[in-house]
Amino acid sequence: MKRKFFLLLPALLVLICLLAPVLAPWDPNKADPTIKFAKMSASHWLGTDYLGRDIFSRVLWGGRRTMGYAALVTAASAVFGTCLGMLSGFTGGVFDSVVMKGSDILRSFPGIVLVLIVVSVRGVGIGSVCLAMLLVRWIWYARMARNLTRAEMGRTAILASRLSGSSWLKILRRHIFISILPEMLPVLSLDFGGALLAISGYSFLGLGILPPDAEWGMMINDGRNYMEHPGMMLWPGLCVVFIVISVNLLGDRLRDKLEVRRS
Amino acid sequence: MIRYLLKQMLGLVPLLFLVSAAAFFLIRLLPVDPATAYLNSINAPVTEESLQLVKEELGLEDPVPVQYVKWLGQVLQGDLGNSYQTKRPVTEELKTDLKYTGILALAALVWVLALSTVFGILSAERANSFWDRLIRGFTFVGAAIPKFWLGFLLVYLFSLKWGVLPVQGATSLSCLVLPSFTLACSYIATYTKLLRNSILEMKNQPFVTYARIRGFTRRQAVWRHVIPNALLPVLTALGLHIGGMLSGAVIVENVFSWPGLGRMCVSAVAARNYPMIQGYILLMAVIFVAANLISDMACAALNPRIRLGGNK
Repeated sequence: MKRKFFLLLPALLVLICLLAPVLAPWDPNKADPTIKFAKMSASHWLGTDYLGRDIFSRVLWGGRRTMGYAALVTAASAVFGTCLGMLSGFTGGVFDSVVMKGSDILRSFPGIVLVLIVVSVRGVGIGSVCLAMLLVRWIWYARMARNLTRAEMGRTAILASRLSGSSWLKILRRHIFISILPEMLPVLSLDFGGALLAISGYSFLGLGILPPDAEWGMMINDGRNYMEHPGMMLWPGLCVVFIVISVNLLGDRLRDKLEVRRS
Repeated sequence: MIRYLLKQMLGLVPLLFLVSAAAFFLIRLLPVDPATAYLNSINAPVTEESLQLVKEELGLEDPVPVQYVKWLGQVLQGDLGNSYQTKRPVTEELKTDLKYTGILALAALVWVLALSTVFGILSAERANSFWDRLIRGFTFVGAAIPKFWLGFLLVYLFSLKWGVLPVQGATSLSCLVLPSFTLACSYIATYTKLLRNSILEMKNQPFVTYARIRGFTRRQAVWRHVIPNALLPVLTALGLHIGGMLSGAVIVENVFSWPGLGRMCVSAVAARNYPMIQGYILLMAVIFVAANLISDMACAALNPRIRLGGNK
């Protein structure tokens, strides 16, 4: 029961953020200099920031953006990485060793360097940051999918499918993908947390989402000059920590379940 | 051993090559042409004549591969051009910044090694006790907390509320405490968890039982056999996390106004200071490769199975 609660609450937060256009009581970008740094009140639930913007509305809109882009990057890198990894494991040979060697070198390369390269060429913006993140994030999926595929290839079911004339695409889709999918899910959950931290970090540095649009990392950066009003920094930060802890817990639980099923 | 090292090095050379090519083409891929960018950066008027002059001076008339080889030659001699912002040579700027980032990273490493071994061993030795629960709680929160937020939280508590540590700057040793801990925190969490699991796993290995049969006490068996073995995965992970730590340092340096490489490169991006960005990218790649080699060597020295390549 306690555990269910821990998953229900973040799900609720995600839902509220998704519904920000409907639920947010104020326009997140509407500045009102007469009510700068307002305290928590009935009209401004979490108070207002240094321009008099409603923090609650900004947290909702910011969450929508931060989590949306994190989900986008995670999904895109998972799809690309899994496809490449499965192909690499399925075909083997030179292609496989090139992919593995390349990913081995790149897998721990500092992401910030790629972000800087892309941002210098394309200019600052969330598109550049997402692109640069994609360039390294697929690697973990590719490596995992490849190793799992190699393990699957030895099964009699694959051989039987081959003998009965299935095309390679069908074998990959119907047999290999289905059996490796449950193994990939915990990674997906943990990786989402990592992507969320990275996106908010880059926006914090001013490389990602640009003002005046709200984003959790950027809201924290806004608050740095007004430390005597900790509310500006507190709420978006709490949201990030809360969501990341939740997806990490979810990933761990999925992994435990998998372990039980396997044994 | 030397053969193993050479093999590892060969794998990393293409990476250096790729990064240097990326740094070189960076300037060629810009929306504005390099000659105009250069003129703008030195506040010179952009005319037909001056453009022609700059093109000749920068060697932009040569075919691109020739330019790349020439540029690489200059880089290898330590000439990366001048910073647009300060007009000083990029190499000198990088040297000063590197010193500060190095200090920060080393201090963070001390935190990581000291705290994660203590926490990990304590947590595994007293599994499911109060301390274990507390430490496990910390590992969950520590891994999820964004560095920039943790940094401000610490500044708020230690500097503004209690006034024990300075807010920012790099003038005394006490300035180092908060930034290095902020950088270290998520790694402390990761390694504590890793060490705890690896000790608990090791404890049931036959060699521990054998040590007990030979007459070692439980404590001796743990210290002599379990912990050295359990530290191996931590070392391997440390090698894998170097890249992440370099990225993390950028954020921490910006939070605490630490005058290191990370703060420099973000301001360079904002000012479109391309020689500095190029220099930063190249330097990061070199540090990354060197650090990977060192961690490979440390693992190989500690674990003959890797060195001899015989555990497959």
